[in-house]
Amino acid sequence: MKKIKEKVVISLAYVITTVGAIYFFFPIYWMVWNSINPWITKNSPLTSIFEPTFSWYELIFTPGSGIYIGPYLTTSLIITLSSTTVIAVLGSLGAYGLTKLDFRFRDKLTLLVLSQRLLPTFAFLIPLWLLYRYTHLYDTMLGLIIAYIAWGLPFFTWLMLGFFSEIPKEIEESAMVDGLSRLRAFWFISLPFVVPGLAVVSILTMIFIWNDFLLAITLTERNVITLPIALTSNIQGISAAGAASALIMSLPMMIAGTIIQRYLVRGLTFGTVRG
Amino acid sequence: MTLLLNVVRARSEDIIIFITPMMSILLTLIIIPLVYSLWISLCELNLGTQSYLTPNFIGLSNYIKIFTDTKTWNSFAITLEFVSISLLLELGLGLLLALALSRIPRGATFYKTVFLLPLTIAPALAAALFKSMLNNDFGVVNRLMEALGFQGVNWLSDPNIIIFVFVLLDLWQNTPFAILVFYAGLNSIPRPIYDASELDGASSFQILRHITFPLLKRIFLIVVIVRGLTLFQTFDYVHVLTGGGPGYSSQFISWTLYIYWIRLFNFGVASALSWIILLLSIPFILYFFKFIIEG
Repeated sequence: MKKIKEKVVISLAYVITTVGAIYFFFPIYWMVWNSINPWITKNSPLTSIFEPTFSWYELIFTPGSGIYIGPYLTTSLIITLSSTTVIAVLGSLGAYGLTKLDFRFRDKLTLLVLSQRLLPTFAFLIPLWLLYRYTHLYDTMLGLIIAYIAWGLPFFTWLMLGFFSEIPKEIEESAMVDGLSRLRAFWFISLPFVVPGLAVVSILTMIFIWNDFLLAITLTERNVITLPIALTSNIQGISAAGAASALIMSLPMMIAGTIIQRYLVRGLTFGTVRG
Repeated sequence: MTLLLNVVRARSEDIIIFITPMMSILLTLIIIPLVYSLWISLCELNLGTQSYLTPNFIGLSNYIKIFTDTKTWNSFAITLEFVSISLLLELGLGLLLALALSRIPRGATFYKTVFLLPLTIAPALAAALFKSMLNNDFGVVNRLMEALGFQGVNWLSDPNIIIFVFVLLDLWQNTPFAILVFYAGLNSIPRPIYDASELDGASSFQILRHITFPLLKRIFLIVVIVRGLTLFQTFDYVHVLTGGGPGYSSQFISWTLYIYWIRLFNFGVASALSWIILLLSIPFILYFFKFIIEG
């Protein structure tokens, strides 16, 4: 009796997860299917045989084809990689300081850092926009990079705090007794401990910046166009070439997300839930 | 011991090296702008009425304008409707799928991988995908429905339906967050607790009601706060999917703010709105700190 009940529960569990998986995977399947669809029906739509084509992928990488995504891809790559690099350097230093240095207001400062990530983005974006207008940072790559640094830094620092605090205190202290300076202790002793953490947090930060729409649509206009802006400007939604471009944009992030899978939960809940 | 403490206590040059770079960026690009936006929210700063951008102190007029405008109230109402429906369904479906996932003996890793894919796709891109799939005339959803003998739905042009399109899109992209977090929570409940209660003759439902749910309470609240704060600021979806339409039916509060800011150049009202959203978020953020301090 108990065995039968267990079997029913397991089958039901499979049905539920499979229905869920179909819903979550369908739009991605649709994107892939469209990107290899020739959109030329030789006979009637019902009898035509589907022959996949990769010509859309060729076209989006052909300069002058009208759907060339090269410049947007380059812009997005430069902006994402440079801002993530700066965030990683400043955020690692900051997170180390907040966990290992002992000073007044440290705890308050730590909460202040996190609160900046949770505050609505609009609240600092409007004055930043005005500032950018005055300083001519508006619609420049540098301006957008600076904005992403400010936006991503609290998030990065916060998650790195968790990793630095996991380093045993004794290791640090023995290094200090041996006469190493703080910066050397950070570089030679602590940093090697947190390299895996540094990698996943950087990837997570990169995904957020790569996918961002709000900062890009408000702080840039004509000169700087990132992939999310370029790919969503079509009124109708996504065409076949759009689907190919969308896949080119999403695939690296899907792979990155799968790599840091085990860590994703911890990252997205600001370290409050361990995955 | 005192000697060791003296060694560990921070020297000021260390603080300059480690803390100052980060703090100066946060100070100049977030904290000062925030204070400045509070000041603007009390000023007239409007390219529609002013030829020069000089803030003109007008007290609470911008706030009064917002609270006496039925359109903003309507905008808040639409946002709340969307947030509550989405949040409820995200939690319910997330819990259901996480429970199912925890019960399957094989393939959990495969399902988890499929579930996390939507989370990694840009929200704006997800909206564009849904826009194509839900297109009234040639979208795949209506064509599938017609093939199955149903009538196609005017997904994007019917003001009564549009909210549900947003919900469908949000559920697609963000239910995975709830699933993965709940699943992590379920896995953290020690197995012996279940075994013991099973031996005591508790039914599956009783175990769920008296053991699983109470232990998930903390995680449940975390999901509510993180998702609630994010949902309340939904912007990308509106920009790509509808631009607030049809009519005013998807004019979420972030979109109203955006219109005041980018379209009308009324920075005073836009800043006031952003401060209202901020003040509404603060209790939830403070509550969230509790979970962080507890660890």
